[in-house]
Amino acid sequence: MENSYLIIGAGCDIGVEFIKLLLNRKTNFIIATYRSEDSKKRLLDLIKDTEVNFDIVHLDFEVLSSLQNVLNDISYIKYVVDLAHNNLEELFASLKDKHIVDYYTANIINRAIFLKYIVRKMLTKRKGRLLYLSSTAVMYPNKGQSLYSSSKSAVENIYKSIGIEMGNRGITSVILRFGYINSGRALSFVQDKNDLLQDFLIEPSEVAKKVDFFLHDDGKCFNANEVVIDRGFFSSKRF
Amino acid sequence: MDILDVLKKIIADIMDIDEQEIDRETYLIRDLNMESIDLLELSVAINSQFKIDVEDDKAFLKDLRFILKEIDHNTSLDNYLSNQYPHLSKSRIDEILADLENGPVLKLKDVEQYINYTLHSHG
Repeated sequence: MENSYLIIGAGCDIGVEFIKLLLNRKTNFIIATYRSEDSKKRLLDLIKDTEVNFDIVHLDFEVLSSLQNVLNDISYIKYVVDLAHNNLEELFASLKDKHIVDYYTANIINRAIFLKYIVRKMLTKRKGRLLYLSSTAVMYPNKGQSLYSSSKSAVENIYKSIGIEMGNRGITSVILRFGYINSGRALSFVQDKNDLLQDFLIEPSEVAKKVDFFLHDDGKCFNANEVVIDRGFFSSKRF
Repeated sequence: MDILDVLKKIIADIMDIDEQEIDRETYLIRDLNMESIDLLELSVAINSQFKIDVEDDKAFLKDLRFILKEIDHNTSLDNYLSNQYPHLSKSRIDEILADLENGPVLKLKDVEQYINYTLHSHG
């Protein structure tokens, strides 16, 4: 099947908001991936009254067969939005050896293999755009974020390399490093902190709009680079 | 359309040149200045057109110089290369060995033979 959008980890708040934008524009040929049954249900609810061509498929970077199934379903893809990243917060010296191996294998190694084949599919038409949703944790990890921030950093550089190597073949990439998003793992962190952070929170719907902008034509001059979107949090003296 | 014709069309598209500038004896790197990104595109196109998995190191002789450097000197070079590149004939391997000092040795006919061999070994 020739899809125009592959949204990895689409069941999160940002994914849902981004899909709403696409559905409002009656965008066709979307393939959205989920990892948990909750995410699957969320996506199914989202599209139940729409008539667009929309596929919901299971993709878990911990399960190689799920990657192969998705690759088998796609002959070409124009846009990739990668929102997926497993959560594991623990002090580095407390981590179990197996967790370190499994986490890096899923989030870096398996993702790299998957992206290699996605890029090869894009190369058949010399056209493609990949967007990776990263985090300011890459620059300033909090305690417990050793695996999260280091693997995000590695994945950023995979996306960056794709843009560098493939840019003159029409395949570009962009990395968005968001600060505190009012959703997911950041939410619990922010709720534990003082009101200062509240001023810097970014809503998932705002994130979705930035994803939309940087993914599409107007944003293509940003290639193989990262953009920090944090309402100035890390530039401010208060930080 | 035979393998050679398909390959000529693919390479002409990738390199933005006329198909008539390419024949079986054309050196892909030495004559056409194909770079690694061009060979990657060629690999992807072959995979798409012929539905075969392309092992770039073998199809494009990418590991030839490494093999020549690492080979045990007591080993027969011809036999060793025949095992590494089973799609190439003995005479072609001799030709390659005699041509090494002149630059990258990959010719279009080598890729053609790789496809031919792979199609038949899976057929």
